[in-house]
Amino acid sequence: MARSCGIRLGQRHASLVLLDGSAKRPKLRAHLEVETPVGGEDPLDALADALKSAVRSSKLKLADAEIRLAIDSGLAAFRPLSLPFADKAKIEEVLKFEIESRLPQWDIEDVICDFHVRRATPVESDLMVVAVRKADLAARIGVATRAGLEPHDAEIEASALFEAARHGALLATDAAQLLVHVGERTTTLVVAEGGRLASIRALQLDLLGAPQDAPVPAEGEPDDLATAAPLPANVAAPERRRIVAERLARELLRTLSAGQREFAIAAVYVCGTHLPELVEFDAQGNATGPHAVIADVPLAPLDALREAAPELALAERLRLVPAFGAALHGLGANGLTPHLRREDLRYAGKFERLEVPLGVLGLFLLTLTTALYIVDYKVVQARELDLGAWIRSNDNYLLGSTTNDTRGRLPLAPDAIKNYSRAIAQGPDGDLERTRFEQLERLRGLIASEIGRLENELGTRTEIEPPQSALEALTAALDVIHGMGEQLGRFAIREVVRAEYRPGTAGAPDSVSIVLNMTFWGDLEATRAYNDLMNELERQPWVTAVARRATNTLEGGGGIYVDGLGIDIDTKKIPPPSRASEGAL
Amino acid sequence: MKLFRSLNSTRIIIIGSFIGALTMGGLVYAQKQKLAELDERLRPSGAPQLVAELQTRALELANLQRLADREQFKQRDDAEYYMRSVASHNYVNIGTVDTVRSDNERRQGAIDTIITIKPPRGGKNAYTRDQISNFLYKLEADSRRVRVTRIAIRPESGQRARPHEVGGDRWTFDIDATIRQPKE
Repeated sequence: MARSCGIRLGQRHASLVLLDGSAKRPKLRAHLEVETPVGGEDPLDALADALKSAVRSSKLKLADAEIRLAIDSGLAAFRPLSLPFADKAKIEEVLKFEIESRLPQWDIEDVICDFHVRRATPVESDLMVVAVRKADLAARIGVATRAGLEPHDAEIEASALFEAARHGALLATDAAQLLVHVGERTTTLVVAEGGRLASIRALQLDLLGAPQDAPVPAEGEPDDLATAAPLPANVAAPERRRIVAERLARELLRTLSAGQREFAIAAVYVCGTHLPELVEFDAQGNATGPHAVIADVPLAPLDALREAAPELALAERLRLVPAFGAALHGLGANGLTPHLRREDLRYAGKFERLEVPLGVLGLFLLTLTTALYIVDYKVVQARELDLGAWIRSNDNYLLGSTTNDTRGRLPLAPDAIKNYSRAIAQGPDGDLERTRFEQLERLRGLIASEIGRLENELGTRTEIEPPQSALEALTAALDVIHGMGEQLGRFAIREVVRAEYRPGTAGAPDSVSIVLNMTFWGDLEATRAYNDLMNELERQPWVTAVARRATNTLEGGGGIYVDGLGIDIDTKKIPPPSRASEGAL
Repeated sequence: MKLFRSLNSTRIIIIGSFIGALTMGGLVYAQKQKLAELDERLRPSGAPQLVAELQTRALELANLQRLADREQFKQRDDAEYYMRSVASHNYVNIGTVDTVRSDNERRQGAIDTIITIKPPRGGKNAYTRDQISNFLYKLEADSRRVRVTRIAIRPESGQRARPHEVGGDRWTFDIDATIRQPKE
């Protein structure tokens, strides 16, 4: 049978409840309470010692029990929080990140955060976040551990209170309730609406007048009692209780009259320290006292242990409610699922919030790049076809087209050129190692290679300038003479003494030197003809020098003759002959 | 392992899509490079110019092939044999000639092989102008390597006329044909 031990640790008071059975039908097997006096040693040390002694003396056997600890609500900060998702794992991932800015008084690394879901839909959740300083929690866990009661988990009084009220069927689904636990230092107010947790507040109402830790300020409530000036320590106990009761009554009134609720608060359930200055309950639970009814709402006892421990007096049962609620959690009650013994909450949040946008962005980028790739692929294909058209056109030009029955300009192309050109004209597969442009370059290389081979074959592939042709020079000179026609009258070239190539020197280029012996018949016409010839030769741009020689009269007259008529010619300056004037044998 | 534990469908989609997008981005980049190269190739200075150049070179090759077909004196042939074969050509009909070969380095880095050609000593040495001019012409026309670099044409020996006389139009010759090639 499952056993559960709930411990409530206050400032000077601790209570313990041992249950077995189930969460629906628990049985109280044992309980104890300890209280330490005000003043003296450290209150937590004193409480640990007192608890340890009480456990030992009661001979409780708790080895197989699930131990749950409920700590003072005044140690915690409560913050509502809305998130755009409801997944618990995801909430845990972002919790610290989201709540950090709401807890300016603490370093986020120094606190432990828990949360209770107030409302949730698949796409959003409304949470009540509970934050407790690690040091405070560790100190309370240490107290329990020193007493031999190391808790398996911890929570605040408020969640235990809610669970106890839920077990006691005090939370109607069509109304709101205010649960009040009067502690020796902190009074906890829990509002439940429609059976769900709505809000939690912790009021610093010190009944004992003991030194306290700095109160935890509530968010957005500057007028809260938690921040009100504490009572001086020297106020007498009765007066202190009266003042506390007055303050609590005012706070209850304010809570009851607050708006913005789905349901009006129909009942106020009170438990914890007996405070007759506020309200007193008889054995039947009827309320009497100065504040038995506040704003027309009667106060009633939060008697959650009525069925589990009917043998106990009501006042005693009311003091055990938080420990009872914690023990219910140990038995598996899950109205709330408090879990303060957690150290593994990551400080994360940005990424989780960005997950969906990032996923959309990733898919968008993937789609965009894929679309770009497809578009570019199509364009590349089109460009390849364009290049293929150039290659086919070139092939038709070189080798001719069988489809159009046209002859190519290179009918005697070697097989290497012919085969390659045909292959690449068929498609890119003709040469898979090269791009289409490189295939053209390769074809050019093949043609250049064949040109080089033929130039070698013909002996014309040399950078050395060939000697000038004496035949070309002589032909050019004779062509001038021939072209003068009748202007020269009757003449004869008696001898071509020489037409000889002369290699150039440093100061003079290559040339051909021609020496002729000529005769001109006629009287005056002969001399004029000679002079005309000289003048005509000198006008030629390719004639570099004309050596005029003295003329001699022919024997018996009738003409002149000249020997050694010199003409220097640079054949490079001779314009190429027109095709019509080219001869062939 | 922690990474795998924290994976959910959204994160798998994020990782997968970003890896896919990066991969596709790389492929798109490569495709863009290829496209830019193809565009560059298709500019007038690219494939069109290359094809034009290629066709010019093809024409040059065709021309060289024609020349090679006509070339009578190829590099591997004997020069003096070539000269004699030209002299014996039907349109020349000079017949036997005497040849003397000499090498001369008239240009730095080049050797001029000079073949001096004369009618045979003691034989027929009178020719018409057509025979001599055809001989000279075919020496150069049948080979791109041969240049006639010296020509002397005189009336046939013993028929030398005086300046006022008209000769018998029979001539003899003395020529040099030069083959220039790089010095080995």
